[in-house]
Amino acid sequence: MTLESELAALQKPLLRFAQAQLRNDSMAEDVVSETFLAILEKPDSFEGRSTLRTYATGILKFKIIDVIRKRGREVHIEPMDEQSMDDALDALFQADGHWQDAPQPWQQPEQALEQSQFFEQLQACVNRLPPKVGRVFMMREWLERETEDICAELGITANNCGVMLYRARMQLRECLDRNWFQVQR
Amino acid sequence: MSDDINCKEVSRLISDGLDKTMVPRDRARLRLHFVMCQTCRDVDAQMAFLRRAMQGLGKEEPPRD
Repeated sequence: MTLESELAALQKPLLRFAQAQLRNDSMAEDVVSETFLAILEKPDSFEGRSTLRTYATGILKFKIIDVIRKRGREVHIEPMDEQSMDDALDALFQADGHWQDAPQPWQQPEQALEQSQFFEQLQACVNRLPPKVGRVFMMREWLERETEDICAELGITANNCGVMLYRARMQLRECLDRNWFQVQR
Repeated sequence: MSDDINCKEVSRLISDGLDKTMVPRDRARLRLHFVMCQTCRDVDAQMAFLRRAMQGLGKEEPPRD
């Protein structure tokens, strides 16, 4: 099979994947085209490292993150700025480091993983992260990259990376608690 | 930091533990805190759940045939 025909076979599943993330057909088509273009431009960098499907999905995820971040900046949602995120984090604790309002356990979180509405809420929470923080978090948890790689690629220190991931997780924990698990309680 | 770490420090250690191997000393201090603090045990479970949820994000249409 030629590379072209292999990519042609991947077009539909990749498009469905991109549509599910972006919920916008023309943007989804764009990121899939860009993904194919990137592969066709440098076919040698794919050779034998993984299946073409895995390789293409990895590239596609990067393209999708870029679109989500850009969209967040332009119109779609109002992401928090980093200062208000810090303030929100500080407000969770008393001066002595005890919880201000002790978080409550979540009821049957595994069941949430079966529900598409839960993932829509999760995506909405991620979209509200400040752009830089969201990007680092997505690279870590969605692309499942190692922290050192992320820091190196974005040119930030390991400590700064750790702080951003910490803030993102705390913010998302709050967001899911408030918008999903408290509602279920 | 003394061995007696507070909930705020614990929340940071929980996050760090998701990104790198913790030194044995920190791991022990964290677990000591968990013994005494149900809330931080819950938060630890929630952070781990968040990771699983993120891995499931977008998998409703996994790129498989």
